[in-house]
Amino acid sequence: MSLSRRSFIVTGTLGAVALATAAWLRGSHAPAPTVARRALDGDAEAIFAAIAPVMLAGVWPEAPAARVLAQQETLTGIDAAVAGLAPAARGELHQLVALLSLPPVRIGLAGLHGSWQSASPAEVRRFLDRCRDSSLLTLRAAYDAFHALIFAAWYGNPRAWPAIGYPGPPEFAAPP
Amino acid sequence: MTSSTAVVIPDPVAEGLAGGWKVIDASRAERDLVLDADVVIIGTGAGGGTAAEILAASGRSVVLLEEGPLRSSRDFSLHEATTYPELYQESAARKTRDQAITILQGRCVGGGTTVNWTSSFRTPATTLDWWQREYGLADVSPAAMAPWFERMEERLSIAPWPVTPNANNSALARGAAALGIATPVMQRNVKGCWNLGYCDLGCPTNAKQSMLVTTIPAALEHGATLVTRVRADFFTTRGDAVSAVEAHAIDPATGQPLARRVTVRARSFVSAAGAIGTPALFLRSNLPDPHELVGRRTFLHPVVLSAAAMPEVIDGFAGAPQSVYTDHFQEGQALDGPIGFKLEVPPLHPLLTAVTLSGDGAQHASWMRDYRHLHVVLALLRDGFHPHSAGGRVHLRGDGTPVLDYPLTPYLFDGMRRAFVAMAQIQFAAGAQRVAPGHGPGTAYTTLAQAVAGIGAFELAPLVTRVVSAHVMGGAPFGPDPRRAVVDPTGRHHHLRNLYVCDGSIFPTSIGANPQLSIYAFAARIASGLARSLA
Repeated sequence: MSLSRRSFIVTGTLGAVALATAAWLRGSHAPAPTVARRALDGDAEAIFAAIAPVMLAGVWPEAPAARVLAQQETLTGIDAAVAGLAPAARGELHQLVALLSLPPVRIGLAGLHGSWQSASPAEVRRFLDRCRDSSLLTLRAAYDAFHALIFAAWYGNPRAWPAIGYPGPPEFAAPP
Repeated sequence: MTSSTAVVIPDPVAEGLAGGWKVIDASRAERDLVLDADVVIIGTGAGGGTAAEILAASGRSVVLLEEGPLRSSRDFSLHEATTYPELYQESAARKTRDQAITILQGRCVGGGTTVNWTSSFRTPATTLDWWQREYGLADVSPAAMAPWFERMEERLSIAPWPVTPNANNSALARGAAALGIATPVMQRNVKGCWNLGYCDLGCPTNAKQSMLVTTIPAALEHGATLVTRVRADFFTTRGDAVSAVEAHAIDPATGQPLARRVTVRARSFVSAAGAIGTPALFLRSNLPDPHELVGRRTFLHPVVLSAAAMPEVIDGFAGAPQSVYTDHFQEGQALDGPIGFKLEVPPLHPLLTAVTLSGDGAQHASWMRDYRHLHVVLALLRDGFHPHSAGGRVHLRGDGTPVLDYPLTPYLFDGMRRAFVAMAQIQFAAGAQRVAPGHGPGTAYTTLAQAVAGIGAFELAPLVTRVVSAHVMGGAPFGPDPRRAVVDPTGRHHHLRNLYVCDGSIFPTSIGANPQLSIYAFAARIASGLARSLA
């Protein structure tokens, strides 16, 4: 991984071209998300829905209803966080999602022959390890973006706090 | 700490608003605004707030422009998920161009001072000496600056923290002491601090003497006008002077510009938009920059961190977040030698903790299960002194927003590797059961020998090594030589006679310590000079 600054710029540029091409290829045909969202389209929702349970393995409750709720709230949190990003950062994430949704990329890079919706945890795990350990800056940035958005969405949620022993912030009454 | 007997805290900002302060939320203005003033100040952080009080108290009419909202103690929820988008630049997720460094900057009235951790250091004498010698800044000696530090220390109740450090700070002190390393007590800008530990989410008790509760209220009492949710786009110039600043209202929901425009005409202009905002404003304005200095040599005190699980409960979310430090790894070492670093600890609220810990899955979960025992040390690298430490450069994107290109170089990586070893040594000496340097998948080590061997084999690289920054400095340096400085030693632009810079942009290197008191002191000096010239 001891790449020079120059090769980082080159891989960064190649990555940017690939990302922009993917976004262009997809055009405006991204599917709609399952519920009304501010920033995530259906493709982005599917990718985050596949990755979040793997990054948060062993963290969400086991009981089915509570688990579904945790997943839904995490996706809602990610959506809110993405909506709050600067346009440039949102654009980069949009391009990344477009790239990962292209079948050749999904198969070749992520090793997923089916859709993101049908990806197994083991397949997602392999994809995340590949991104994290990649020599390409773009893929490491992708891992970092998933990491930041997913952990922020879950651990910013008071539902996550009892399990880690965080009592929540002190409360003050509003002045009269 | 959740209490059923909630306490009512008086809110001085709410009282001031009720008492008739002139505050305009540009996003709710019904028409374009055109304002006239003696001085317009762009930015309300450490530099802009300090300048506002001095200029308003000297009898000048002052307009303050702030990109973020006016939020005060009654609004501070202390919940990270809502606070970061509300009070921080780019939701606390601002990144350098290659995404490798996360930059924390305030974006609200009070700027960084509303959300910083209160650590207050005078500019180190070594740094001031260096500026005198290398940058021709003849009158910045420690003796010449002492009255300015004293003035701002008094104004902001800056004093050594008299309370026992919280457990996160104590662990740093204990580990360092076991190795014979001193950890002095920090100075903090607080008055009647409750020792809660939520400085980074807005002080809920108004104990932190940020600009929000000190200089800005004072300026408003003197009749200054504060315009919030407005982003300065560019200066218009006529000859060798600035004639107006053009700005747009910002949509609170999206952070994006609205159609509503704000124009401020003034005799003098003070840029205090921070070390990314000020250079970006100058670049958008196409100001004279014959030596292409604007936005170059931007410094970050790049930070690497080390996590440890301690046997005792640490509860790093509670208590004054920073109260001890050590300069053992930079003090007495050549400024232009291998890079030195300062060690401190951060507050550990759950969202930022989870985002900052490396790795994911079962390993990340195991650290979060140990959250109450988590101890984290930060190493702040002293950049900008060595020829191989030229910092970064602020560029403009197509939409005019700034992005900082800050290359991580072998010179910096050398310091980061030494810092990882130093932090692991201290954490094991303090009794750590396991230590995980912020690098790669976040591998944990259970002995110092393992950690040292592991760190020695790290392939340090962007987006492999976790790097963050909360201190942006430089990009519009001061100095007597127009070939090397954007503004002169009084803070005035070398080519525009009524434009001043009053923020961390003026520093020709990094500070080598948390910069807020440096910004206060230099801003007070620059603003006082400007006030005299306008009298």
